[in-house]
Order: sequence, then C-alpha cells, then structure tokens
Amino acid sequence: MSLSGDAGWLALRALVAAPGRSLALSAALGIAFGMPALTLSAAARAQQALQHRARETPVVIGAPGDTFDLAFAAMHFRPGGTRPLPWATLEQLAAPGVLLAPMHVVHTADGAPVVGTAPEYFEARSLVAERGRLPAVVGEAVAGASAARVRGLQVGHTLRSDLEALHDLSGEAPLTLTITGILEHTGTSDDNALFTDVRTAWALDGRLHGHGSLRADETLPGTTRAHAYGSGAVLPADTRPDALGAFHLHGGLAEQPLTAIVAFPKAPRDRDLLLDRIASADGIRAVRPDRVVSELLAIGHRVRDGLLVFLGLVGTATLALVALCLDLSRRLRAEETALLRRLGAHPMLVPRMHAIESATLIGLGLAFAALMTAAADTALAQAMTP
Amino acid sequence: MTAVSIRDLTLRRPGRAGFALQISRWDVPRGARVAIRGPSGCGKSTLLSLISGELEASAGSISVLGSPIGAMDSAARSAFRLRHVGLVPQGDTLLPWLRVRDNVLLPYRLGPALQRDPAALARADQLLSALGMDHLHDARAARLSAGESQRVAIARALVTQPSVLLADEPTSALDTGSAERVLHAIDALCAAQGTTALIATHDPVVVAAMPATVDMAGIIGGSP
Repeated sequence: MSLSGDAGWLALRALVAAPGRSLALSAALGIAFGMPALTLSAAARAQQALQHRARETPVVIGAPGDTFDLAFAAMHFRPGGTRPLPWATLEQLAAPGVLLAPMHVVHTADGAPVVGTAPEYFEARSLVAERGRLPAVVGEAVAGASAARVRGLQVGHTLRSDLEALHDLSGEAPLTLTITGILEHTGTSDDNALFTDVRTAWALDGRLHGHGSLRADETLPGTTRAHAYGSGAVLPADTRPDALGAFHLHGGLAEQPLTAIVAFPKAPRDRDLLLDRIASADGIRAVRPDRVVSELLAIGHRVRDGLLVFLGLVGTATLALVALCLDLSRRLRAEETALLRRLGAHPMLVPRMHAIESATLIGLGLAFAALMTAAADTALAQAMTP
Repeated sequence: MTAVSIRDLTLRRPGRAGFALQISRWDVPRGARVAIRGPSGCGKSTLLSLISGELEASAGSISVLGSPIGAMDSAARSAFRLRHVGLVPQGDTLLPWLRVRDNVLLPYRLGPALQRDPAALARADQLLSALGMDHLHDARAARLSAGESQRVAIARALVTQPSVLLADEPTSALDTGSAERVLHAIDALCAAQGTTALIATHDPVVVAAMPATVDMAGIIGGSP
C-alpha cells in the first residue's frame, strides 16, 4: 500500500474508534456548510413560487389602498386590508380583449378561504374539476385539491362557513356549502381555497338572502355569464327549500362589493389599453403583481443577504471551533504521533494522516449538509406547494 | 562484526552547561543480547535513543550495522530504524484505537521503507502466543493492562525480524514471574532471529535473565 493508503487506513481507524466525536464534528461542519445553502435554496424556492403566481396574475384591479394587500388578496386569497370595489366597475371595464374575473374574498369555511368568483376565473387559470363539477348555483362550492385533501372533502359533502363574530346575533348566519367538485392539483394557492359563485360570497355577507320560497329553476334578475351560474339561486340543504322563494339581493347588483377584479388581457396591447382606462378612472387603481412581487423580493433579498452574512459569521465561528477541536484532539494524541515517529514512520505519514482525517470529516460534513439541504428542500417544497 | 559501534560520542543538552552523555568507545557485537544496567537517570534511555537515531549526537559517531547514523538525514534515519531496528519504548507504547494484532503489524503501515511481508500476520500471531497474548489478538489496545501493552509492544518490535532490538525497561509493568517468562521469550526469539538485543533496565530480574550485562557506568566516559 502507498504512503497515502497507509495514512488513510490509520486516519479512518482513528475516526471510527471515536464515532461520537467524528459524527459531532461532521454534524457541526454540515450545519455550518448547509445553513447558507439551505437559506439560498429556500429563498430561491419562495421567489420562484411568488414570481410564478405573479406572472399568472397579470393585472389586479381594486379600490385605492395598500398595494401589497390588494395583490396578495387576489393572488393568495388573504382577506382583509382591502377596501371593497363595486360590481359596477367590472361592467365599466368590460372589453373584448380582456377577461375580467370578479373576486370576493372575505369569508372562510373550516379555515379555508371562500373565494366568490365567476367562470372567467376558472377559464383564465385553466382550473378544471378532477371530480364532480364546478359550482352552478348559490350555495355550491368547488374545493381546491389541498383544501379537499386536508379536510377529507368529497363531492356531495357539506361544510359550514366560519362565523365572523360569534357574539353578534344580528350578524350573518353561517351558511352550509355543498361541495360539487374537487379541482385538479395545480401547485398554487388555488389548491387551498374553496370557490363559489360570487353571489354565494354575497350570501355569506348577508347581502343575498331569502324570506320566502324560491323555485329551484328561478334565475336571479340581472345576471349575466360574468356573474351568474345559469339556472337558479338555491340555498344549500340546511336552508328550508320553501324559504328560497324570496331569495334576493339587498341593494342593486351594481353596488355589490368585490375585493378585487383580476384582469387577464389577451395581448400586451389589451393590457395597456386597460391600464390607461383605469388610470383615467376615479376610485379604482390597477396593480401589476409581478412588479409588487419584485418590490417584495428586493426587500427579501436584503433580508436574505443580511441572513447570509450572519450565517457566514456563525459558520466561520463553527469552523474555527471545529479547527480548535481538531487541534485539541491532535494535542491530546501527541504521544501517539510521537510513537509513530519513534518507530520510524515516514516524515510525511503523520501530516497526511491528519490531512485525511480533516478531509474525511469535511467530506462527511458536506454529505451531511447535502442530505440536510435536500431533506429541508423537499420539506419546503411540500410546505410551499399547497 | 559489530551491530553497534560508538566513538567519541558527546550529547549536550540544549541550554544547559555540561554533558548529558559522553561515551568514548563502545562496541556491541552482532547477535549479542545485553542488559544495560544502571540507576534511573544515568542515561540508559538516552543511549538507546541515540542508537536508534531519535536523538542526534552533538559530536562523535554511532554506527549501526556498519551504517553511520549521524550521516543520515531525518527521513533516512526513520527508514533505517523502521527497516533494521525494533523499538520497545517506555510509557504508552500502543495506539489505543487499534486492535492488538493491528498494533503488532503497525510497522508495516508506517512507510515504504518496510516492504509488505505475507508471512507477517502469521509471525505476529506466533509472537503474541509466545508472549502469552494469544487470547487477545482482536482486543482493542485501549483495554489492555500496562503489562499486556508491554508484551504487545515487544511483539511489534520483533515482528519485522529486526537486526537490532532496543528495549527500554520492557518489563517494568510485569510481575516477577511474568517478567521472567517474557524475557526468556525475548532471548529465545532474538537468538532464533540473530537479533542483537540491548535492554535498558534497573531490574535485577532482567539482568539475571539476559546472557550478558554491562553497567552504564562502564559505558559512559562523562557525567550524565
């Protein structure tokens, strides 16, 4: 065997003889190496997810207010923080080159956001039901893949909307939603939500309700494809069928609130025309989610860079500690190396033995870092993919 | 033909006045098995270290098997020692994280100066048996007693069939009976291999067991 082979044999025997120390040092090195890599990977994954959703949401229209709140309400269904927009805005902005999807995100059911919208939303996002069908009438809902999986929802199941204020007896009553379908998995926030007709969302507001009987085949007045699902307005099973007759909106349709309108222009020219029209209109504004996300990422990058500097310092301190541990270990084993020299060891044997020991620990540390990063990356991917 | 030849040797201790060791002339014939007797601190261990080339003399010459040790550089001295000299040092003499058999065969892992010998493994087992250690071949060295460790170190020193064996108090951790048995084994093995043995000791048991004895006082020409 060569001198390096002999040095390697001795180094590995020494490492194996003290497995606890070897593993602890490797783990410390692995954490020092792995944390920056993990941070970069997590940041890249978050950036990718945010940018993808932002690219798929070309323009969000809302009332004046916080840009981030509006963009994130439309992209990720985070309720609150946005002022409502009247339904009339959607009718004013309707144009041939733009698909406009209304969105009313105020309520939740079993913790999942209930997104009141229209068929245009499903069309623009290419959302299709894997099982069952899309909601056709008021009181029906289609569940995102993760929302259904987490809650064990199947077609035909029902679930109640969450009460906004338990103590407010004059507030809206919970509504039972009937699941008519489960959407295909998309890997986006759509997987986490329940989608209903926008009028169901208004019903959850208490703006749409009945005082008498309504025939199941009766159509609500003033509805179009953009804001109605055809045949009739039917309250779900826990509402008495004979009470559906007097189902009606409080106030005119044009005044009904929307959280946002997501616009899907067919071409850049259509988008620019839409943005021009919005710029000249009062009480509304347009947000480009890709730009909002870029702003957010710029902040995130600064945080990430700061974190990397911090991790670099921690990593340097860890490496210094590991180096000290190795040095201490070698000092403690000075008699052993002196013995090797006394017996006639080649002058390069002990340095090579030490080098191979260090290289092996670093190699193990890198392997540990790679495993840790891969495992954490997989966990992150699962956590960030609804 | 001499195994060890010393002429006008002087060793000074760095930073101290006077000599650590001074020997004007000493020859050891090949195949001799000699106990070097003397009280603690008289320079026995220093003399063995000079012969093995671990220490460099300040002046004079030492030849081992006809090769002048002082003329060799550090790497050459290491290679010469590994190839021709079996060493039984004092103190901790084993690598505690190796098994007994691996410790005995350790010289074959220390560099290219010593060629691999297919018979070494069998020889290691025979040596361990001869020294009463055949039940501990696979034990980790860290678990051995001081006496067991000394016996393993003796086996390691002899496994390469060296021309010269230098042993420093090799039975200091053994009881009288065990020491006698080990010394007889050393004597027999050295006689069989034609190995020249120099054993530094202050133990009368060792002196009695070896064929020849010299007093350190008779070797040195200066004050230690």
